[in-house]
Amino acid sequence: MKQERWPGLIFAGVLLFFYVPMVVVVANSFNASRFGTRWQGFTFDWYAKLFADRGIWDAFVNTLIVGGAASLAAVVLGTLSALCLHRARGFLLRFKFGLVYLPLAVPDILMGISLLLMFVMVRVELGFTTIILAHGCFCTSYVAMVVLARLQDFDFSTMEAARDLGASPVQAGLRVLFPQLAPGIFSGALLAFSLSVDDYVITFFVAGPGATTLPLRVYSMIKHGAPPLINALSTLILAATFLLVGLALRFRNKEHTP
Amino acid sequence: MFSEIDKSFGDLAALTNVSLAVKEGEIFSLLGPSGCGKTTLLRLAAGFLFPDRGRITLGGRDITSDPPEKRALNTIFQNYALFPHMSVRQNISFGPRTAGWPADRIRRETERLLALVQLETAADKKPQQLSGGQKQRVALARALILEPKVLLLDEPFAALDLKLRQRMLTELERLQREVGITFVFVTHDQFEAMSISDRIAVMRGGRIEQLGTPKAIYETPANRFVCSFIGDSNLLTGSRRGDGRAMDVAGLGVVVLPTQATRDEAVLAVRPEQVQLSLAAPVDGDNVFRGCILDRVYLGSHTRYTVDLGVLHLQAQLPAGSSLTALAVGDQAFVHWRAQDGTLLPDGDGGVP
Repeated sequence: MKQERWPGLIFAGVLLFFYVPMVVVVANSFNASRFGTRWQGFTFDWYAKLFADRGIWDAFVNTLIVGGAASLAAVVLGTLSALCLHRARGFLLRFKFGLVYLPLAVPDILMGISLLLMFVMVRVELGFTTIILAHGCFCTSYVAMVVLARLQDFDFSTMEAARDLGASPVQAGLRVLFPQLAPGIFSGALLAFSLSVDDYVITFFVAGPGATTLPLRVYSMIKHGAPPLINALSTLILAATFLLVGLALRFRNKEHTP
Repeated sequence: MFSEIDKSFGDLAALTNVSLAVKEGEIFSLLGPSGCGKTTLLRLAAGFLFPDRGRITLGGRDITSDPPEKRALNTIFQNYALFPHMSVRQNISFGPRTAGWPADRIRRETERLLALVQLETAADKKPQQLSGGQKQRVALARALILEPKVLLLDEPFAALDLKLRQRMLTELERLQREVGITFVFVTHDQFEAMSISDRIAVMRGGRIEQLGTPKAIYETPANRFVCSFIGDSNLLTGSRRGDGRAMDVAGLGVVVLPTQATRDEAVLAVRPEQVQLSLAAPVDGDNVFRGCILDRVYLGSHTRYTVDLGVLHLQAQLPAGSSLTALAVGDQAFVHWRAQDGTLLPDGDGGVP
């Protein structure tokens, strides 16, 4: 049974490829050496310094605010546009997926430049607002895509059934359409939030003075040479991510085994 | 219930001047091939569509422009349209919860309906865990809990297999007697319509071709379309002869008619079970023709023969146990039927399809 070992080996290789860099980062965050090329003893120093760095925390809070606001806007706009596109007929019907996918396919750098040009043209001062607007813009596409996919499976006769049983159009929407779309909306929101949190390229173009997000901050820290702090920060973010993914998986498993 | 309804979708006229009154407490079927407008009529009644012209009334009240939620009728959808995110119990109590009934009444009524459709043990399951027949019963309970004046059923058995379909049909009939609600059925299946309905409206091309009891529609079809849509028929076309009590069928001869033909072109329908076969020429008989057995199909309860009469073929049907079932393909035989067993179609083709 020699052949059957190969898939396992390849999978193990892929896993190594995925996770070795992360292990290096985590290990180095506890490494007393400044450059991480050699192990010079265990330390929590970098974490202490990280928590003391006001700049990072400001950027972190900014990122959360931007991510929250952008994904909220994206959820509302994305869901509404998915609903409209789903009903589209004729011209729109032929292009509905194109309309949603196109912004995802456009390179970030192009999105960034065009957003910047537009903001300059309409004379919006670059800063917090423009970052939120830009993030909301590309996140809307993702939410719309996820919700649109969910709508493909939605049986609109259940809406008619609700009306038939005495529900007004609004009640039918809230009690029949929304609960069935909720998983799509929720995963769209998560996707939007995570995309917003780690976006660098677009943010780089539309950020103004005083409005720095975590990715921008991390990049400038690397340029000015403070890798150990970044290792510590990365480790914390990794831990938070694993925690969230773990929770999400548990939540999903529960839903699937009634 | 409906009067002078017109409805078109774009250039397509789905219904043309349809008027129809369903009596309280009856099982009424809208029967016709797909595209005949029967579903459109049902959706107009439910309020998912609105007529271009005409009025819809329910118990004397004009409901033409009421939205679905304001109408005292409920629908069983073809695919049942159960709410997938709710349990059986929640599905059934949806109507009362929307209407804001007191909690204990909702609970009591939901349990009563669960018992009525025998789903007590499945009350907490989700729709996707149910079988087709169970889903249908949930849809039924969900629609009946609001005690509608009329229950609309859109091809409710289309997704069920034959055995289950027959069982649900019987069950539905029993239920209708129990609750005494008017049922309006949409179906393209003539057996379904015949077996359950008090009255049937046969539709084609957005018009009602004939409205009557199953017996009346089968025995005295209004035209060629109804006659061939409901059951099988031998259709003979000829020209009126003399006083109109007979017609000339080209190549066959004189055919005696049951009633007086009023037009030059006459169409006579004879059901296969009314056509007799015999080896010797019958002593008396109005319509006796000699032919050759062309085909024989054994169907258990009866045997179906196709007899070649030269210019046309005639279907004859003999019950099992008939002494003539030994007739084989190629045998010579006489076909005959009594004049009064035929039906002269008063209305020819029934207009343009």
